[in-house]
Amino acid sequence: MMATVRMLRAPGAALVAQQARQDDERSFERFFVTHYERVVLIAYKVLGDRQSAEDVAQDVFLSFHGRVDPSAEWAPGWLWAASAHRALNMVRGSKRRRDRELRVGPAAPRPDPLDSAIAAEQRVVVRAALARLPQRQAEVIAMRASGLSYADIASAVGVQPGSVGTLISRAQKSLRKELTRAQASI
Amino acid sequence: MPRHPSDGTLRRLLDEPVAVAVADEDHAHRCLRCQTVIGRMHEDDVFMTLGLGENVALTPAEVALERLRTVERTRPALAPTAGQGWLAGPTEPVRRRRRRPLLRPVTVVTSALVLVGGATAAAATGLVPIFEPESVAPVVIQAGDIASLHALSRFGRITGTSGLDLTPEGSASALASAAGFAVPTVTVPAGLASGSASYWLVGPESAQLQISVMKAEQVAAKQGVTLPPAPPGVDGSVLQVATGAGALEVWGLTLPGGVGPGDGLFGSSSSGSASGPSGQSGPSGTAAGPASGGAGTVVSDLPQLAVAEVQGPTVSSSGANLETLENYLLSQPGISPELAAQIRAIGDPSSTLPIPVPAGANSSTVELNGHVAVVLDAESEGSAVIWAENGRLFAVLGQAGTSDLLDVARQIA
Repeated sequence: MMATVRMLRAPGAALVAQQARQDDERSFERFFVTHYERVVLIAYKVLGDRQSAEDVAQDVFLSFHGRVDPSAEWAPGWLWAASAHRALNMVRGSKRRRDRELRVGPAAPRPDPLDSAIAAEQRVVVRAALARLPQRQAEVIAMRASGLSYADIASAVGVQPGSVGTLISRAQKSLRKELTRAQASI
Repeated sequence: MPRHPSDGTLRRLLDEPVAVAVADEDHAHRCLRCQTVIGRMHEDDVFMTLGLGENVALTPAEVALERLRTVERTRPALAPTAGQGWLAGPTEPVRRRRRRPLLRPVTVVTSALVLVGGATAAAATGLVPIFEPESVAPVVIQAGDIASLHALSRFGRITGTSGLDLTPEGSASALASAAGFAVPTVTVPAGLASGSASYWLVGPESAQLQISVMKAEQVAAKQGVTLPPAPPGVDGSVLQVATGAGALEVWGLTLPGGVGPGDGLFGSSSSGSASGPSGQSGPSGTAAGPASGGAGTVVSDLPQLAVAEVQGPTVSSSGANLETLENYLLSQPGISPELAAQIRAIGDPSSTLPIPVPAGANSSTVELNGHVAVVLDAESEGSAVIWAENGRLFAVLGQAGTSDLLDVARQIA
């Protein structure tokens, strides 16, 4: 008798599960399209390279998909924090790689006319300083630079919106100090 | 003249002026000091915009989504697994990142908490109390000094460093009953913190350093340093820090990670416990967010506000007296001359508690209803106000600016 009941219920349960999966996928797709650009922009502010930023965004969404409920109130904040975090890890990893390469021996000079442009040089210096900041300060700056509102940043870093101004102010102050220090050491 | 809006408010005035109170906006427009601050923030904005580049044309989201689908199809391990369930959100119990001892204001207070005095413990072990703080003074410590605090074990054997033992209590009255004294009650200014407070009993602890001149000489010899002869009585002396019960009230922190186990006077320890309120168990929680090495979460580093009161720290010794031990320890290699000089410069070493100031933090002393208070401002990490009163140590700390924390501190002092 129990076996019969199970057989009768099984197809229905499978259908329900399939329907739920399709709903989840549609929900994820809507979420992806809504937030993709912002996730890339946050990473781009840290990395300064579109392709790398899009790679970061893809990694973030791969981690997100099926593991975080897109309808959760905190889901966008999760994405933004993840994007800033991974981008910073990437740039710090690159720096470590560069440092190792320098220890092995200098790479052949690569002529690039843009390198001589002040703006490009400035961006390199600022991003390097950003990567040396404490994690949360760097994340806050990247999020703000990408255009996230105080409420969005608050949800990403887990504070009240009223505290975000203080975080940004202190993060920028630290960045200024870091840049001054870097300039002095040149 | 009304007080100046905080830097955070001025920052928001630049970014989201509609969200700022009219009174603050009016003040900022009329005040030269605030205008100067805003001008500097504006310069930072310009530089940040130049430095972090303009927005670029991106791959359309629909195309990126198709790429993602392709990756998931070709690398099944990355595809979501049916029925695996969602991760818990940041309101669930979460694992917090491990923090370095003594580097953050909250840890400074942790150190202060570990210093909670226990004259009874001293009496029980036959030690002579030699230190009961009546006031506090800042002592700047650098990274190397932090290491040397942690490395005090090279001067002997450290025992009893079990870390902080935090027990959640359901209410202020329950905490008072458990702690054995009335806990401070404060009215939290609007906007400073949200939600209700959680209450924590800080359990008694003690740590002893038994000095071994031979061990110190061996460690110094490895560094190529020959130590001068130790003063008589130093070898075998025991320096003890005994702690009694303390009370901690916290607003706006999911877990007590800021005061986690292992952040003791002598640095990290190997045991200790910290369980969350309402039976939440920190380390066993689900890691939901990306904020810390993949296992962290979207939670704040500091509570919005925390108020601590601890029984005045008592340091005791057997053998040599404090002055002799202090001179001996501070003259060792690895402790910077600056730190040594500042500790010695404190007027009355028998009653003034040095508050370690993390490198990069600003410190000052203010008068607080007749008491000298140390104010720490650690930039992004938050602020803290610490003072001693009638043999007890008080601390107010959080994400707010120092002026807001001082307002809270004045309610208690």
